[in-house]
Amino acid sequence: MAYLSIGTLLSLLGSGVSVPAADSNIIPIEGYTEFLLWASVAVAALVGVLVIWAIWRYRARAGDQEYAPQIHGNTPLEIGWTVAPAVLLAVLFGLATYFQLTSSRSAGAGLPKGRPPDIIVIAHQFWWEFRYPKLGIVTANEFHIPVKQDIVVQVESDDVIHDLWMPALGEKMDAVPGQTNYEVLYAPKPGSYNGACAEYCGAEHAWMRPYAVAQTPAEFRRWVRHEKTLPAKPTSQLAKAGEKYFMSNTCIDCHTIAGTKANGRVAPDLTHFGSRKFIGAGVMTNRTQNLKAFLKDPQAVKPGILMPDFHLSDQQVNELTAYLEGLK
Amino acid sequence: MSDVPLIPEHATQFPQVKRMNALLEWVATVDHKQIGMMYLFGTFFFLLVGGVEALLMRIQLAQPNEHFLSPQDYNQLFTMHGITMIFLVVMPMLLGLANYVVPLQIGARDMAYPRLNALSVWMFYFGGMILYASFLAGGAPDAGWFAYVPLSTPPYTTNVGMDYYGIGLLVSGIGTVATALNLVATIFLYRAPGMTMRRLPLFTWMVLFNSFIILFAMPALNASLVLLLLDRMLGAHFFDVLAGASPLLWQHYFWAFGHPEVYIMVLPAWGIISEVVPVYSRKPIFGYGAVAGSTIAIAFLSFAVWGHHMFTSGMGTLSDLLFSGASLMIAVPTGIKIFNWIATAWKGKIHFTTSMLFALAFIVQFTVGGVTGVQFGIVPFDRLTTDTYYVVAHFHYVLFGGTLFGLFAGFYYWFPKAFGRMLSERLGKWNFWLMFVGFNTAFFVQHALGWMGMTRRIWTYPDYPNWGLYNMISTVGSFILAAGVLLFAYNVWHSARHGELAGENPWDAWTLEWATTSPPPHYNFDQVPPVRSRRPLWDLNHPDMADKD
Ligand code: HEC
Ligand SMILES: [Cu+2]
Repeated sequence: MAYLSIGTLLSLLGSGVSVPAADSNIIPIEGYTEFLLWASVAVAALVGVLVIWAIWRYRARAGDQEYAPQIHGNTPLEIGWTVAPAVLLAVLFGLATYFQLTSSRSAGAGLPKGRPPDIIVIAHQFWWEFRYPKLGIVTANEFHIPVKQDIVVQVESDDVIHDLWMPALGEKMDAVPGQTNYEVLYAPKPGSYNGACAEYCGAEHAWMRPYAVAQTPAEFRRWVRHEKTLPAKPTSQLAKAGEKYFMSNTCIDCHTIAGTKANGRVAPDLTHFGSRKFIGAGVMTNRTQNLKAFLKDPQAVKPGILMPDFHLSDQQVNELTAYLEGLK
Repeated sequence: MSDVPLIPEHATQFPQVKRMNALLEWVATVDHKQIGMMYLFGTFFFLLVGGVEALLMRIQLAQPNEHFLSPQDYNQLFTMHGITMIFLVVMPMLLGLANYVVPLQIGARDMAYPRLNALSVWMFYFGGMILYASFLAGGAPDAGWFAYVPLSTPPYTTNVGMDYYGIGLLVSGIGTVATALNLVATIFLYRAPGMTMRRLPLFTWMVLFNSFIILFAMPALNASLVLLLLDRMLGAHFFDVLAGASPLLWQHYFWAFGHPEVYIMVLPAWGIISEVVPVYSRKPIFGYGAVAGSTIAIAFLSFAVWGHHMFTSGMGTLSDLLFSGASLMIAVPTGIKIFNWIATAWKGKIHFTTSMLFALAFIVQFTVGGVTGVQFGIVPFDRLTTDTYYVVAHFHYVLFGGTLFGLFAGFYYWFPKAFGRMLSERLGKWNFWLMFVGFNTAFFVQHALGWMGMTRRIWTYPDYPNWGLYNMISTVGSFILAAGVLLFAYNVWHSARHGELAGENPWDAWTLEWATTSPPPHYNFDQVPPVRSRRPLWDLNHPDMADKD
């Protein structure tokens, strides 16, 4: 109901805002948020109605006497419209402060007492690194969380200021170099959730989209097990050639693939690249054709990306694609 | 009204550029009216430039995954759009109007320091030219108008744009400080006899407090710009994270200027509304004391709220709450104004001139921007919506739906004074409705876009449900809005030569600027009427209904 009512107002047609569903990137409306929105709508509507009423009722009509009564003010009235908003604002402030101080999901500048982070996020121009310190796994751009649990996320940056935002899962927090912030994510039900980098960070600020998959605890455990196992060794001729190229070139200075000598940390971990949904932090879905286009010229696909164009031949692109797709 | 005397064709005019030495007269002028005009024409030019930048962005954003612009182009455009609209349009446009109107409104001959005044306007022009020269020098600024470090310093910026940003803003910023000083001195020293501070017209009153805010806020920006330039050009370490600096330092410096700046960009517009609404309602302002006094409260509070731009930066809970409380408090004096304006129109005899239409639209649109502003003052709510299109909608409702609509109300109101002719009301109505419809179409849907997770400053976006549709609506609106602005330019061009003659006081208004010819002579007044209340001309023209003061 609440979703419907305010949602309708906000989105004009009502089709844009709804209960978080699969692939959701919408801010849920609940609790004090809803109260605040209604209060705002009420105040704006009051002013709108008063103005329209004044326009209608007090328009100068032809033949009317030309001057209005010369009223200079009315102190009790004016005190009234000073005190009433002040009271409303005090209530809002009280509610929000209470929420901020008591909610277990409120973000901030330090970790909640006695809660080591579940995930450490390191923002890079223009991709996300997700490290699970308790589980010992590392992923890039895509991360998984169990549903119905507060996930404490520590947010850091490796270069400029970014901001990790999962609209449907919680508050946003800046990733500030030299500082650690935290935010709490909570997925009410299984599904996938789109996010964004919310602080302008340079050329590809637009394509710096984290992607979260919320799973039941059992599924999540399965995913963790999968992440902890090394990807299968390539078997096809093509993929083997791709691995050879990768390992004997500069790719390894930037990227990590667990179990190989590739251990660079300035680019996304590719260990399970084949099982991720997107390439380039959301710029394309991870399909063969797209991956080929990306490897052929990353700057054309995501202009401003910090991966150079290596002018690979079509043959090399095919080999690398076969290898990388096999990293499941 | 049939016994109105025939209006004489005005004698004095601005120097016509057709004449040989007229250009020199413009360049060398120290007359506040001409300087005001130079501000207004220069800022209108930059309004068109910033508008074109906005339209280019709107074309790029009309559809998902669009490649009309590259991310590098887009980032320069949104940065320059912001800088242009804030530093080269809204702020100097208000100063230009103040320059023209304030000395007339207080019955003065000119500003207190005419030559300083000329320096200011040229600093504005030079600052603007330096900023735009960056396009030729290898790239415009591209780190946002807020220039957050470390993105605005090497190695993260690669072109020289941000140097032009620093120097350009410094140059125009010094001019702004000088103008503020000049206005304060003028208002304190050159008021007509009888015009006590408590009888100051509200536009002048708001300009006065605006100037105080400028005097305290702009130096913070100017000093920070010097530090940024030292970091960028001489390798100093004020903001160098690797040398142990906190990136939040810049944010505090910048917003300590940046939030007062928001009020700098709106106070004079409140002043315009406080002049226009009473005149066209044929009633005095309702609660002069409350409107004037609440402005003082806002001037003070405006320096205590900058942290609400930083609720997601991790300042700490105590700072969050203090800044939040102060931000909410500011809504009280703002609300007072809105209700007083409505009460002014209440029981009035409202004349729907174009100027009044803009003023009424201002009240509603500014309120919409105001209530979303309150929302951003609430920490957890801010952390949901900040840096999304919800913010973009919010501040356009304040700065465009608010200040610029207020300025247009002022243009239609004072144009007859400056040019001796009326702006066409027929074109004016078109002008208003195009802008009203265009503005609300362009920006209302952006609330929804923000709510649907669309972050700001992104050069393109994925094809999420409805994002494309709403962005397309917004783009269409922006073009309607642009048509409205162009129509205004045509109206000015046309009416300045063919408009109806205005006479001294076409609106039967009551402040002193209407007590001289239109346009006023170089020396402004032959004789300043006696000031015995807040409405000297009203007392003169309607002795039976004179204010008791
Ligand atoms: C200079 C460092 C660097 C080198 C060398 C490099 N890359 Fe990258 N690569 C990056 C960066 C940075 C990204 C992430 C860019 C982004 O999304 O903004 C990336 C992304 C990728 C991705 C997409 C990952 C994802 O999850 O989206 C693939 C695949 C990839 N690189 C393959 C390669 C291959 C193959 C080579 C060798 C031919 C290579 N890279 C060499 C820096 C590098
Ligand atoms: Cu980012």
